[in-house]
Amino acid sequence: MTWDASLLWQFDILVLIMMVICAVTALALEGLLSSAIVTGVYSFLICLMWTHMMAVDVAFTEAAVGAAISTVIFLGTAQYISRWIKKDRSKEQGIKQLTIVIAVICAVMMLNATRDLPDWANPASPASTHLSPGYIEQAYHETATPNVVTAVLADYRGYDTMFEAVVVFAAALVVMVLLRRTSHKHRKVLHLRPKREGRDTVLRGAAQSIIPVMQIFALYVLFHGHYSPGGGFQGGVIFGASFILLALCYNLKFSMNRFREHLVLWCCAGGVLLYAGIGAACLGLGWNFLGYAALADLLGISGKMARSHGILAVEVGVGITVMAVMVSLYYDLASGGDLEDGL
Amino acid sequence: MISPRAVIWKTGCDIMDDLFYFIISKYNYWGAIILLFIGLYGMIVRNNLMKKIIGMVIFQTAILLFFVSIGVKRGATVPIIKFSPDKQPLLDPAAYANPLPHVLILTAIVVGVAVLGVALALLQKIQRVHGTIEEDEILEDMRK
Repeated sequence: MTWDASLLWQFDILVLIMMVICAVTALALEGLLSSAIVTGVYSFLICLMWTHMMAVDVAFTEAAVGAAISTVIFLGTAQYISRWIKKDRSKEQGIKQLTIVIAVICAVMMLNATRDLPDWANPASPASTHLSPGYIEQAYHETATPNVVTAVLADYRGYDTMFEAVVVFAAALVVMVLLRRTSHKHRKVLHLRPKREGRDTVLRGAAQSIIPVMQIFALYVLFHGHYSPGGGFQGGVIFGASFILLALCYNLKFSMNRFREHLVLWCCAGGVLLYAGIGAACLGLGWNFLGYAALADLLGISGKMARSHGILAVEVGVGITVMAVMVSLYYDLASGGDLEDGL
Repeated sequence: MISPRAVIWKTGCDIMDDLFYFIISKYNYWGAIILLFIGLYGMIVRNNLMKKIIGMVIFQTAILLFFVSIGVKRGATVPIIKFSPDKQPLLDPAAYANPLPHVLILTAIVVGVAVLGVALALLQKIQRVHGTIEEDEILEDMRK
């Protein structure tokens, strides 16, 4: 009965307590804007948690997606709805409060069931002894990719990632179908932002200097995903965030002049098509779908280098799709679908 | 001859030790379960649809926390292969965290923001059609 102090359990418990406080606050606050900001804080805290759990790729994704993009689309939506929740409750609300009893009972049962689960950070737990050692031992020899997460993501579990990209693409289409409209006579913004053209010089100057750096960093994250945390998802989200930052600091039209809607849609579809096209090319060369080793003869390189290049190519596809989907989500949600004026 | 006081002290210490060990060795599950039920409570009880969506986000991150935390290994580092000074890869599985949950959760986070986008689009559509996002008012509006 000993525990190892090498993992900082005090840090984890502190972060978990802060996360619980943030979760309760986000649900209890009456202002929806403050709720959205507290949800962003919650995302940053879980990001810390994941860095400490050595899941750096996950933490990277969470910082870009959960803390940045989610908060922005929450705030974009908050323009079109009432900013405060109503306090008066209907009579059904009393019955709903009973849910807390059921929730507490279920929680206690589940907490008791944790006795049977493996200990925290136990190297001999079943999850760490059956499948994952194989990936760690073979991934570098088979794919020449030191970042095991990237190798598993784009090679061993390539189907999974391809259909995730399809799901993200479908979500962008659904948002567009739900919200997009060309006439703006029905436009109803509850809280119109005061016009302040040309006044936020500091903001625009900062954006001008930071956006090129962001875009180069996004490309670095994408192309260096084999050797460091990062890859198509993170790079794509950061690249998309640069366009969102442009729209936030100038206005939506300014950003859309640089990245037009039909181009966004072509990028959404193009990334998925690039991914599926590489899979189909491998199939055409007589290997399995997404069996990148098929490309070895075509490129004149060894099988494992072909897999490394295949991973890079599908990561680029994922990056293009994710970038375009994030921009598309922002355009539609922040403008209420008419693409006239954003957040 | 051991005095009764010493026996009680010893038993008390053992119980506290057990409890401490139980919390320290399982706190990742405790955090995930508590957040899970906070999210579920928000999804069911809160009247405002925006709050329900925030509840959904919390519920989702609780599940992700559970998944990532089972991949943690004591004494392991990030799952990026290191090299020895003579450029040989160091491939000891015990030295790297389990990469598999990281892969699954990384994609789940991106799909999560896509789901959030669809939910917020539906929210805006409901606001347009019914003029409110309070659950009981929407129900009243639908009954008319």
